[in-house]
Amino acid sequence: MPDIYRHVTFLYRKDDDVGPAEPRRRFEEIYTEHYAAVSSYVRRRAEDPDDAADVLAETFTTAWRRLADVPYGEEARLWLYGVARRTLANHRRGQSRRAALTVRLREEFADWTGTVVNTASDAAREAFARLPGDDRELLSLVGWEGLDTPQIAKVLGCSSTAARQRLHRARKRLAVELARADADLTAYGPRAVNLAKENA
Amino acid sequence: MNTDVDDIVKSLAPDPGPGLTPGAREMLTQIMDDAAPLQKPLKKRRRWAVALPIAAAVAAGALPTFLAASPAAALDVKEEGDHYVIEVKDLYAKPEVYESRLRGLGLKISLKVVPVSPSLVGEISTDTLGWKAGPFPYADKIKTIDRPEQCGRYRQCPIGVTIAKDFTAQADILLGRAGRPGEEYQAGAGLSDDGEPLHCQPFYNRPVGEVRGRLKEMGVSVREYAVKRPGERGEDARVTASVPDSMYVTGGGLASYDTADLVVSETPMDGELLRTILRKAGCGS
Repeated sequence: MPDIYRHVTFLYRKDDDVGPAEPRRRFEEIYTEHYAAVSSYVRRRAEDPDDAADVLAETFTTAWRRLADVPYGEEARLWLYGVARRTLANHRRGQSRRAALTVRLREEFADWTGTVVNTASDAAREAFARLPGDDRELLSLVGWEGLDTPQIAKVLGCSSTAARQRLHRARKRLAVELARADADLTAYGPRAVNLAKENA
Repeated sequence: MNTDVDDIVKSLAPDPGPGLTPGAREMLTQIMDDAAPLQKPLKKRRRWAVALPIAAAVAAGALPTFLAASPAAALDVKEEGDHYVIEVKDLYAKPEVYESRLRGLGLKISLKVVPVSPSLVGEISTDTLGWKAGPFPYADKIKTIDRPEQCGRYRQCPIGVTIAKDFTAQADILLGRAGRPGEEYQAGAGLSDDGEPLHCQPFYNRPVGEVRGRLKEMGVSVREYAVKRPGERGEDARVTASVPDSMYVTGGGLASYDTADLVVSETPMDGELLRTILRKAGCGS
């Protein structure tokens, strides 16, 4: 990371808009800007609303405690996804220290009835469920969070090349599972057909 | 890109949830009230205290005590009235060596000596617990030791701190030392600040090519450029290895002994802002 910004900070500390942000204000900005995205990320992966609330609390508590590490701009969202991902992996139900923070949030999550009409076929759902967790995560980061390969690399903490290769393999495996689930693969389009053939 | 497989995954997306609800806002406040952020310094925003030399001279009248360092010691400690005078003898010792010595004095202080640009050598950075902004909270307890005028490349001056004996808080202190060739500075002042290479020289709003030439005469090459648009935050500046010579220099600083970074812009900076900066640097007309 280049250190060039420090000069900007020194030069304009009092005259420009780059003075040290007061921590609470900076955290509030991060929270309000990225809460919806991180909340969606967690809810879509947590087993139940209680887990989701705990993991969210843990994720943002980590961001608050490590405020100095949170990148600026769009990268903050990717950083938060990375923290949420690790928190989900480590989360053990009932062991959360953050439970006390989330009483109201849990109620809201439990009361929330989704509005998304799920159009996928059962076959597709089952094929996706049969994939290894890492594959599901890669494909979800593309399909659910709308990330591109370099962004995925940041979330996973790997190189773009590695992310691209893993993603390609995950797509192939899903195509194969879809082929198994539904003989008429062409229903899913030519790319799925090609991917399945590649794997054959 | 035609990604049918991706479309299938997309169609499987569970509901994203209700967004920033009142419960979520409540949690925001609770998180911040629950604990403070870890006191890791914001690296790009390190602040340096202005040197506050103590009135008493270090050498004259200072009584060597049984605490005095052995010849090989990293720190030379003297007692003087109600405070310790601590001079860093080995500027390259490990922080644990300093810390162990300071702990022996009953001080909970961690000391690091880091390479900095010329005007910050000998200065204290106050990466200190509980200090986020504003004046250094222990300014009456921790000070830099006296340094004669015109310390710099051709004159070595002592680097160290004085610490009140009754100082009981935990503090992390960074002290600036000169950088060795190849070492990246951990903090730097602006290129035209007092004590830096282009102090009061044509710099701001000058074409990049001209400033680069001036630096080259001093044996300093440009490491990288941050292209900053007016009003843009420093963090959002685009960093690049080269820019057109015609762009305007609006800032910059030494990155190491012989490299500098420049902040550049398509347009010159506002005249009023420039006057303010020059006045503060002591170069105003």
